[in-house]
Parts: sequence; structure tokens; C-alpha cells
Amino acid sequence: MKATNNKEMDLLLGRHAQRNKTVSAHADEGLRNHLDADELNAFAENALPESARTRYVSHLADCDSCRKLAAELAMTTSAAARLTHETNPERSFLGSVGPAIAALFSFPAIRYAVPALAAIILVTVAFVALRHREQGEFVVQNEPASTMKPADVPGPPSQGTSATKTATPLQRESGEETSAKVNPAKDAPAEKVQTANNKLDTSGYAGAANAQQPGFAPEPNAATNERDEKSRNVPATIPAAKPEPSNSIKLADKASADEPVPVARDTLTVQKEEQLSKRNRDAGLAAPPKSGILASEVKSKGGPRRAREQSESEGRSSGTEVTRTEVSQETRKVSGHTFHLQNRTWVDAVYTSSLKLTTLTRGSDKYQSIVNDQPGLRAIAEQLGDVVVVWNGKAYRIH
Amino acid sequence: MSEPAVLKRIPLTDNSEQVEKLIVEGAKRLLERATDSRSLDTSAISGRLRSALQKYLLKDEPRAPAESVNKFLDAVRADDLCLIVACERGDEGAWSDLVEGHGATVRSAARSASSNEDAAEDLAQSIWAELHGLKARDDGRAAGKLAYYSGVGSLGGWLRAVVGQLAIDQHRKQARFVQTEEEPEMDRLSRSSHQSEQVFAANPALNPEESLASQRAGAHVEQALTRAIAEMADEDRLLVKLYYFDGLRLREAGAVLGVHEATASRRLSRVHTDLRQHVAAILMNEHGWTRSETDRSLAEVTSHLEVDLEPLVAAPALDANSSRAS
Repeated sequence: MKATNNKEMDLLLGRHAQRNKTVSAHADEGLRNHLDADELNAFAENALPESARTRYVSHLADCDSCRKLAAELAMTTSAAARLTHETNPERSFLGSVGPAIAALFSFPAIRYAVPALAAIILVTVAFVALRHREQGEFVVQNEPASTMKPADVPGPPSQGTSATKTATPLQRESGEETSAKVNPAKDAPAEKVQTANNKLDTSGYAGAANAQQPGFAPEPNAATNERDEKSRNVPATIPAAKPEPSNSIKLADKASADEPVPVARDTLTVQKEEQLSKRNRDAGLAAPPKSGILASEVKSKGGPRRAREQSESEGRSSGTEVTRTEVSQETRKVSGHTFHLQNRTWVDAVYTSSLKLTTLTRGSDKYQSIVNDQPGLRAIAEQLGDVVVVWNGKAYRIH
Repeated sequence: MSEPAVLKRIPLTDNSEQVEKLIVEGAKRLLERATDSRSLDTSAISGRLRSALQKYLLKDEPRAPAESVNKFLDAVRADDLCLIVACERGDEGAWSDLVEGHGATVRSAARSASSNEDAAEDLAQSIWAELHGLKARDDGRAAGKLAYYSGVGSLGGWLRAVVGQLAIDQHRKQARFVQTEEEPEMDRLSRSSHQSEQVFAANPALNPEESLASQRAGAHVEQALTRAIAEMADEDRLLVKLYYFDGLRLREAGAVLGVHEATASRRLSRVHTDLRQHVAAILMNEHGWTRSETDRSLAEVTSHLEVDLEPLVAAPALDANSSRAS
């Protein structure tokens, strides 16, 4: 009610002013005792004792010409005061140091500036915390398999344990170390593996990409470590761990028999990772860097399923390459999206950490319902393994 | 405007001797305070301080305590006052300092007070003559405006005020002898606003069936509002004038009143409430309206205003309406 009353008066005063403006412009010529320049200025600069000020207020309320001058002066003064505050020595010495300090603790400063500062700090902390958590997600996905590793290692105890011991805490370092050390000697084989990989693209790359899931993460490192050790021990015979091709095929067959494909993705991730890491180890021990050849053999023999399994082992066995791509930022394009390989996950180039990530597990109802509507997304999901994709403004993590 | 007149009105108080002592001491402190006292002595300054004190403090508080007298004297701008007093005494160095230091201020004030660049230049030039004074006063000193600077406000602000007043004076002189372009329009506007009640009556947006009653109600409301505004406290009326008549924003009106925008806003809101009560009281007491009639009429008048404010404000519509009415 009060607000409407105020609105009423606002409108009435507006009209009243419009009607009477010009009348009083003439009327004030009859007024006596106009303010002189000194009075106007002293009033405008708010430099008058209160009693004198009151006297001038009553004249200004009725005298249009004095009021207009006083208003102009006051506005110029208030604008100039901000500029000359520091430059006028007399003023700053006497009048404005105190008020300036007082202004820091004044009501508006305390009311607005302090909460604003608090809000900025809060946002910064939240941002940092959020970023930490996102990094933490990747770490968590990598960790179960790698921590499990020492317990399950069936390989040669002398080699395996030492390899995994270094592998777990120094994963990244050792990977880099490997690529750095091994590369000069091993450029040729690595390239070979890569080309073999590329050959696989048409039929089995999805599988190969699958192999790059975080679950497989430690394995390549273990393999490289082994190799690294070997390369240190026997630098001349780098492809020393060359296994029998038949061995590998058998393994792949066994894997495909053991496990329904697609892998039971609904099961607990840890379970799956356990399985996978076990298989990886098996394959890693068996798989040679030459498995590219092996893969193409399998490809010619087996169906797509076997090819996938095979390429999985291929992906795993070519651990050096995986480690290297991690560093060299491998890029792929699917359905018009560009993906960079980061931590064995294909991450959409347009993805930023500010987007909320929806996790989809392959085979789940949610995954099916989303993917069925969007063939483009399906293509991405099928062609890439663990993938973070931005689709229609939403970010999905598919694994 | 003239000092002697002010002085005459000030009765000599019992503590005049004490005040005189305070003034001399204040003048001493002022000269110490000034970065350049321009070799003035206390006697040169104390006359200015005396008239300023009487004009701004003792006129309203003849028995102001020594504390407030000292506070007032110590707030006087030492350098500005010394410069002006030295100028008035014919100090050439001070004069050139004044022209150099404040020439830009005078030019910018002249530009904002003038309609074109030539007029601004003329105005700026005439200021210096006005300041110094072409004729000598009886006591031999220049009879310029320099004599009227008190040092209470800044010298720059005072110069701007002098320029502004001079511009108004020149405008008035011109308006008196030459018909300026604005003059016919102002006449027409004032004529039509004298007929404001007819304007309101002829407002075509009003429902014809109710128009007679509405006319009368509207006229009563307008009368009551005029009276209520006239009877408002000076400070409130000044705010209303600044905001509604001069079209200043709240921040600007606050700057004139020496208060923050938020304070001006709160004050305006209170003014609305007070004014409405006052208007309602006038309507009920003088026209025998009941409270509900008053509320209804005010709401009705405003609801028409909300729709019609624009055409009413616009001059052509006003003109058309008034001509039809007459």
C-alpha cells in the first residue's frame, strides 16, 4: 500500500512539476536576496555551518535560478573532488586523510566490499577444490588396478615385483623414462606397432581403444618396465620378450572364451578391472612388441569378436606406444568431434572442466536410451573406448 | 550581496572583543598554514575572516562558542584566500598565478554556461575584468568581485559560480531587450500551464461520463498538492524541486544536499508518504472528503496520469489541448 501511495505521489509530483516549472522560472525574478557566488559555492561544497546552510536551503527551494547554479556547482564539485582528492595538498592534509581512512571502514565498504571479498575467496577455493576432485577421479580409476598388482603378480618374482614396485609410485616417471630411454633404440619397432595398430583401425580399433581404458593403465607400464629393465640389462636385444605367436593366440582365445563380450560392463568396476588387469598381465607377459603382426594374423582368422580381443591384447602389449601417446597427445576425429588422448581416456577437445560430467556405463539402460536417440554419439561410443564427449552441450563419460 | 549590508544587520555581541581576538589568532594560524602567504600580514586577512564569520556563522548563531569560531576559521582555505587578497592588493605575481592556475577552470565554466564557443570566449574574457574591477572603490581598492571571496569554499568553485552568475545576468539582460528564441516558447508554456485546469478538463483520455466529477476531483487534488508542497519543510521541498522540477537524478540531488544517494532515496520515499498524508488531510478538511473518497480519487487521478503522462508532458499535446479548451 505504501509503495502504491509513493507511486501515486511520484506521478502527481511529476505532473505538478511539468505544469509549474516555467511559471516559477519567471516568478523567481521577484525573489530578493539571491545567493552570491561565494554563498552558492560554499553551499555546493557543503562547507557551511549547519545554521547558515538551513537558511540557504529555504531560498534554494523556491528560487529556480539559484538552485540550478548550486546544483551545477555541486555536481562539478563532487566530480572534481574525486579527481583532486590526492592532488590538493591542503585538502588532503587537513580534510581528506581522515575521511579517506574512515571511508575504508564506512558502512558501504563494510556492507558491500567485505562480503564481495569473501565471495571471491569462496569462489576461488571452490574452483581449486573442484579441479582437485576432477584430477582425483582419474587417479581413482587408475589406482585399483595398480594397487592390486603386487598381490597378483604371477610373473617371475625377481622381475615382476621390482618392476611393479617402481611402476606403482613412479608410474608416470617410469613411463616417460622408458620412452625417453628406449625410444632411440626402439624407434623402429614402436613405429611398426603403430602402423599395425593403424591397420587394425577398420575392424578392431574399438577394441584397441577399449584396451586403453584406465583399467589397463598399469599394465603397459609394467610391460615397459620389464622391457626397460631388459633394455638396460641387454640393450642390444630389446625385442627380447618375443613370445610364440601361438601362445598369444591361445591366450586371446582363452580370454574370449572366458569372458562374454562385451565385457560385463554392469559389474563393479573394480571387479572388472581386477579381471582385466589379470588378463593384461597374462597378455603382457606373453605379448611381444611384435604383436602387430600377430594381430593382423588373428584378424584374418577370427571374427570381429576375436579381432577385438586380439586387439585388446595388442593394445595392452604395445604398452610403450600407449605410454608414448599419453605424452604425445594423440588425436582422433569421430562424428565431427576431436578427441585427445589423456590418461588413456579420449577427451573431447571442446570439453572443459566446468561442464558437469554424466557417467554412462556401456550396456546400461541409461546408456542405451541416450545412445539410441543419437547415432552420432553411438558412433563415438563404439569407436572410442573410455571417452569423455560433449554432446548437445552436455558432457558424458562413457566407459 | 554587499558586505556592508550584512555587517549592519549583525548586532554587536557582548563577546565581540573575544571574537576579535579569535579572528586575529585565526588569521595568524591561517598565514602559518598557507604554503605561500604572499607576504600578507594578519591585518590584511582578518577583515576577510571577520566578514566571513559574520556572514556564515554569527548571523545565525551570534553567541557561537569559541570552539565553533575556531573550527570555522581553521576550515578557511588559506592558500586560496591569500592569493585573492594579494590579487586585490595589486600583487602582479599573484594575479598572473590566478590567471595561470585558474584560467582553465574559468574557460570550462564559461563553455558549460554558454550556448556556443564564441559566447564562451566572450564570457571567459569578461570574467577577469569583473574580478579585478574597472572602477576603484572609495577606499582606492579595486571594486571587483575579488572582494567577495570568503575562502569558505574553494577558489575554483567560487570562480565557476561567478562565471555562472555572470552568464545568467547577461542572459537576463539579453532577454529583456532582445527576443530570444526561447522566449516565445516560454511564454506559450507558461500561458498553457496557467490554464492547467482546462488542460486537465480537456484531456481526451478521460471517460466522458465521469469527466465532470473527475475534473473537479483532479483540480482539488492539484490544489491540495500545490499547497502541501509549499508547506513542506525547506529541505524536503528542495529535494522535490531538484528531483521533479530540475530533473536531477537522486545521486545528483544528493550531491546538492550533501548526502549520499541512498539517503536521498530514503528521504524522497518519506517525502512521498508525508506529502500524501498532507494532501489527504487537506482534501478531507477543506472539501469534506471521506478517507475512502480521498484514496479513490488519488488512485483514479494517478491511474489517468499513468496513461496520460506522456502526452501531457509533451508540449505539442499540451498546446493542442489548451487551444481546444479555450
